[in-house]
Amino acid sequence: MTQIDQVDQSTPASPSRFQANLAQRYRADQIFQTAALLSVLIALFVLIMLLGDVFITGFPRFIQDFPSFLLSYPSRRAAQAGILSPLVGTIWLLILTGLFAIPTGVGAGIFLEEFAANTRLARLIEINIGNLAAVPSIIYGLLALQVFVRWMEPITGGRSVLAGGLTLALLILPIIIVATREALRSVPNSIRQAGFAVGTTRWQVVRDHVLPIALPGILTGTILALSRAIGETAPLITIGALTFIAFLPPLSPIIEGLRSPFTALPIQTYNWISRPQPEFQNNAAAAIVMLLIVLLLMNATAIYLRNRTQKIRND
Amino acid sequence: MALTAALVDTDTVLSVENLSVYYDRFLALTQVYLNIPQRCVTAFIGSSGCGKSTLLRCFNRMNDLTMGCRVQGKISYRGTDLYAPRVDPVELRRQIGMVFQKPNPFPKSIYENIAYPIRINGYQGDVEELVEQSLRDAALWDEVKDKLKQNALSLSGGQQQRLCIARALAIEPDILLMDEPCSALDPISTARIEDLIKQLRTQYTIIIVTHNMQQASRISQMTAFFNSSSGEAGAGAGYLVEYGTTEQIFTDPRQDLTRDYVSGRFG
Ligand SMILES: Nc1ncnc2c1ncn2[C@@H]1O[C@H](COP(=O)(O)OP(=O)(O)O)[C@@H](O)[C@H]1O
Ligand SMILES: [Mg+2]
Repeated sequence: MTQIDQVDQSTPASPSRFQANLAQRYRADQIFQTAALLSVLIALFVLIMLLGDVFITGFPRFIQDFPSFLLSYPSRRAAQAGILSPLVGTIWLLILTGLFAIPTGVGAGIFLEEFAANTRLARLIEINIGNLAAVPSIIYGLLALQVFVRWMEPITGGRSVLAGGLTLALLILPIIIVATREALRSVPNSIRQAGFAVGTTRWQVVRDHVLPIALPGILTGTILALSRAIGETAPLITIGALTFIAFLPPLSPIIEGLRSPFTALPIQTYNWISRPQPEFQNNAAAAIVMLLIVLLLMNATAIYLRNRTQKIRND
Repeated sequence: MALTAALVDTDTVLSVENLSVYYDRFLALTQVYLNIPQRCVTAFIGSSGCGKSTLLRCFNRMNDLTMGCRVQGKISYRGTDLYAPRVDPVELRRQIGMVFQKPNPFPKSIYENIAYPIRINGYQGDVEELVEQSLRDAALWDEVKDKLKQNALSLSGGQQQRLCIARALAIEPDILLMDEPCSALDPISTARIEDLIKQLRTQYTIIIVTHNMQQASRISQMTAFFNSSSGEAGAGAGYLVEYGTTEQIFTDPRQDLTRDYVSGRFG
């Protein structure tokens, strides 16, 4: 009773039992905001320094001999050297890696998330896929050297672009599986129940209702995984990608192309950067510019596809 | 009174015998005996967590999809054992439709929401015609006939729920299970759905879970009251307290527990 009376009598002016202490709370707000902004600035600064350095050293070389730098083979003379074979090698790797890793990874993700029973074995597999995603890439290189280059030599032809694609596919498989499962898990269960309740099978529910909703997430995760793959150097060096290649894998017969030796942009960069002459340093920077352009194109594709599928879904 | 008496005598569609349901080791529902008559509305009432939804999900075997759920006892659907190995749950769910607590239309067009189950179940006739018929049956046609291509999520909550009912009706089910279909809706939408249920009960067997006592008394002919024995360790097993005509349950309950519940003194 007394309490109610107190509340009734209290006006904003009268002393309250709450101490809002707004000034101090706003100060904490301010401090945190500044700290967060500072972190962003530091990250941006480092990134801009890196990109700036690369562009200042590499862009003149890239732009002065614009088509010829892209269209010539590596050479002992820095001014004549180009990135035709590593660029083509990177594109081969990109396509092969995607071809092997996307169906397998997305398929495995769908199976584990939508079909597999929640048994102890399933949980064990789940934990280990998470662990695989964290294994250093050079370990994959060592495994691939034994399996794809040595044991499977009759098929892959040894240190070939096919072996390289398989290696990178193996490397990003866990990432694609995890991304696929995350995307599937974000689909509300009520949609699955709605599907089952009208007499559809599990595969129909997945195909017609779950996958369309999860697709943008799967696409984004997949393309980011592919971006990671084409920037990899260590596993490719381990399986013995060459650093000096003056020919392209033939397109026909395709099996010849698959089994021919290869190089890739990061490997060419690594090779040039370890040379003392400054001209080669410029070449290395120019190759990095090309690699960045490829990466940007891929990320742009990811964003474009995501927006497009989202729009279709919202129509 | 004569009407309800007549209804009770009609054929039994679902017959539940000594049914117990476990989630892993947790006994959620125990020793239920129940006969659901044809072409009328049976309401399941009772406080939260006493196994009403669990029992409902046994009828269309949605429980099969829940990890760790085990069903003991027997449910017969028009004479066949629902859990017999030769019963295909996918085919069964076409005959026993379900409407959920939260409206869950597919995030596709209004038309596609109805056409999808029709197509997937291999309808031989004119799909467009059946879509229109189903929307009319669910009292939604006039509101959506000009925007069939629009996304179903653009509809209001009440319209979405009627769309879900239309979707369930489209594949010509025998029984319609409704798990608190109005609990997420405003009173006006609720009233429309109640009207709809009253229309549908001449053609379909409807089992509805509801928390709203007035709703149960307004729309159902039969009522089953569930309760859970509050055991020592948290929630206890749900069980059926009393089952009878709605009139009897609300005016002349045999059990004290039922009397307390329907008069609002408990639960
Ligand atoms: N999938 C599940 N896993 C484990 N326990 C569950 C599951 N679904 C329901 N339960 C439990 O079973 C009991 C009955 O639940 P439910 O049938 O949803 O009750 P009601 O619909 O009457 O509110 C509750 O104690 C609930 O916690
Ligand atoms: Mg419930």
